[in-house]
Amino acid sequence: MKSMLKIGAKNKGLLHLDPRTMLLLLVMGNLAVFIMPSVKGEILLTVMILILGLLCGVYGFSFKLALIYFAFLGIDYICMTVFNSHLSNYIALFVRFIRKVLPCGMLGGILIGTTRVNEFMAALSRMNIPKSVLIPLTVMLRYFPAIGEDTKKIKNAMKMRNVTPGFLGFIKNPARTIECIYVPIMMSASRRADELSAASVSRGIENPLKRTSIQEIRFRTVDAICVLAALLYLIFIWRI
Amino acid sequence: MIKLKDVSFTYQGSDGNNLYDINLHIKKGECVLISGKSGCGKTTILRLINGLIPNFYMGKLSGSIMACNMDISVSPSYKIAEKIGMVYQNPRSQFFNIDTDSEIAFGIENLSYPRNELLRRVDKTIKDIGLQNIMGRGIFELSGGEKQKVAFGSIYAMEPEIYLLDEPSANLDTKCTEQLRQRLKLLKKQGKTIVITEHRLYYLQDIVDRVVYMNKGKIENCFTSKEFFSQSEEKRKRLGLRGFDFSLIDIQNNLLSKETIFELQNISTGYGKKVVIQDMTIGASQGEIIGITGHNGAGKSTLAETICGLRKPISGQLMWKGKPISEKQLLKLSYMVMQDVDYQLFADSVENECTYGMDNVEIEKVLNTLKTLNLLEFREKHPGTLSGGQKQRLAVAVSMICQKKILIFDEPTSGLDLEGMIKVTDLLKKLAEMGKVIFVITHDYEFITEVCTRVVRIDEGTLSFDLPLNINNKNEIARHFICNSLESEA
Repeated sequence: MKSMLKIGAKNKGLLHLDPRTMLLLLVMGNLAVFIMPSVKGEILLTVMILILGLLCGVYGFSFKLALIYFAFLGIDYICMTVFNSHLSNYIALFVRFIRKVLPCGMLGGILIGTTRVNEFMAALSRMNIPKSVLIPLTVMLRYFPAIGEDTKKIKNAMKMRNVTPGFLGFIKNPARTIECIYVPIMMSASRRADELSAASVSRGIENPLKRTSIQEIRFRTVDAICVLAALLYLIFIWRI
Repeated sequence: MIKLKDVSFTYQGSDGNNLYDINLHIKKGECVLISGKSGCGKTTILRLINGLIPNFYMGKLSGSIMACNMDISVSPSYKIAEKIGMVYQNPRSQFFNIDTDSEIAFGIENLSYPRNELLRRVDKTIKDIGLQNIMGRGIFELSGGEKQKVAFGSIYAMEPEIYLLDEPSANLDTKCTEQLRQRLKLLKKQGKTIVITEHRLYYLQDIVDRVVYMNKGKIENCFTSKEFFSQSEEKRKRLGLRGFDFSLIDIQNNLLSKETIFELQNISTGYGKKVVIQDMTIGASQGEIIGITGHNGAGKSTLAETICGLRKPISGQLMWKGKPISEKQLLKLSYMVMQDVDYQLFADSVENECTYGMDNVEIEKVLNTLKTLNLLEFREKHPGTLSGGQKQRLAVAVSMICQKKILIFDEPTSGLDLEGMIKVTDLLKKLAEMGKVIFVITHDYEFITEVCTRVVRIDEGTLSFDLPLNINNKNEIARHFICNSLESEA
């Protein structure tokens, strides 16, 4: 049957992984950072994730984070070798902390960027995860893009009130900026959550049967290859 | 099909009943309109029918509710969902997914149909509702009309017996409202039972079979469609209802205004390099109320952002008092009252809201402004607890204290009843008397004829016309609001 549905329109990339694979990769990535023996291993990890991101079609985000990663690596190096004072050591330490979590942040971003809400729900539902865990998790996934929309409107409202949003405003008057952004976001989030729950309850989300999905969800060869690559990588850094 | 017997209901935490002794019997295949002023309990009735009361909204309920041979108050929500579908007032709040395809499949996926059936139903929905052009898109990039279509489609795919629609036209332009009317006709042809709550009534004349008029939580009257729509204008206004028939509306001749104080000269504007508004020239003078109209997605919001100084024009010149002005300076002069006012209220009380982000504001001035706008008694309250109209007036109060000269209202009357609309009308006229330059983005013809001195129409990013509102121009302006059903069916 030929469908009018443009399935896969969200994924511009060559690769589309099962959401379960993505979750598994995320766990493995965290494990890798935990047992990471050397900077070289970390660079390899970042490069692998970058390649994954590009294959999945998440171009801008992957590049941006990889760039930040290497910039931090550079700052770390310069601080440690060229300056090597107390202050520079602190800076290096700070930068290193952020750098450590960047690869997993990239993976998480790729997960959010490539997985549709319903795919995610169906996949988790197949893993026999109870609805009481599944629904809040999904709402979170759903809410991330909405924050962007809300923030833009709030920033506009702030500008009209002559309260400068953004970094400069934050430096000048941090308390006010935080209040201005967070109060309306919280208000709108709680309102949205309420409305969203009502709308999903009245469309049968509480059905105890397993959810089906209009996208085909199954493990494919690519999933196996990705998991295998990650596994090999883990063994490799474990052995070093 | 639907039987409400002696139903009374009180929401948790509210004093006094919200609904009293509701008795309503709706037959299979009937289309019933529930009308009445804001806050009369229309939406509450819909929530009773689809079981959100008492399953989701807690409160004290008595009486019995039967629909599709189910006792609603004890049936599980997913059983009800198979038979009864509800389209919410604000489509944004019902979207669970962030792409259109998944959203349409959401309900039927919940009901665990096999994949073949899912595909069949989604395909049928796309064809019947006419969604071909918006498949595979993100929901954030859709216009108001498209969002409503997708929300409707997601229910349509579930093929329920009963459709509940909560003010479906609140965010729609004339063309989209006409499409909505066609969709309702389709449902009627399929023999579905429909219950609609609505303030805008004109498009429902040949759709509904029966009209229930509610007042303060009670059913005050039941009309046949014919009885209801043939009531005199005077009686309609007494019931607090919006207009049935736009051709009856008179237009007063408005005084032509004085010299131009604010001007857009050959402005083009858009996102990045993408031009949304092209080469537009509009002048405005003090005390003018200019209505900006156009289809959902024609570029009205982009224009509004430019007028506010929030969006830098790609080319063209902004002028104030005959001198060029930068968008940064313009930002200091202008203020937009957003459709969703919650975004622009930040403080913890009405009074603090008025001084928020400003230094050295005289308290006397704040109090005077609040008094002018009938907000003085709420000065201690949290802005979040105010009603929609009060929030709107609070935003206006802020603009007055900031001494803004240009005000833009984005859809100030969406979802308002007659009384609410008249209040907004009075507010705008008061602001015009103070010499403000006022722009109003709106689809509401009734409102335009009450308040605007001039109407600007935008079509696909260009100026379609810019006419003062008077008897000579009535037909030209009205043509875009009174949808010729023959034309749209063709």
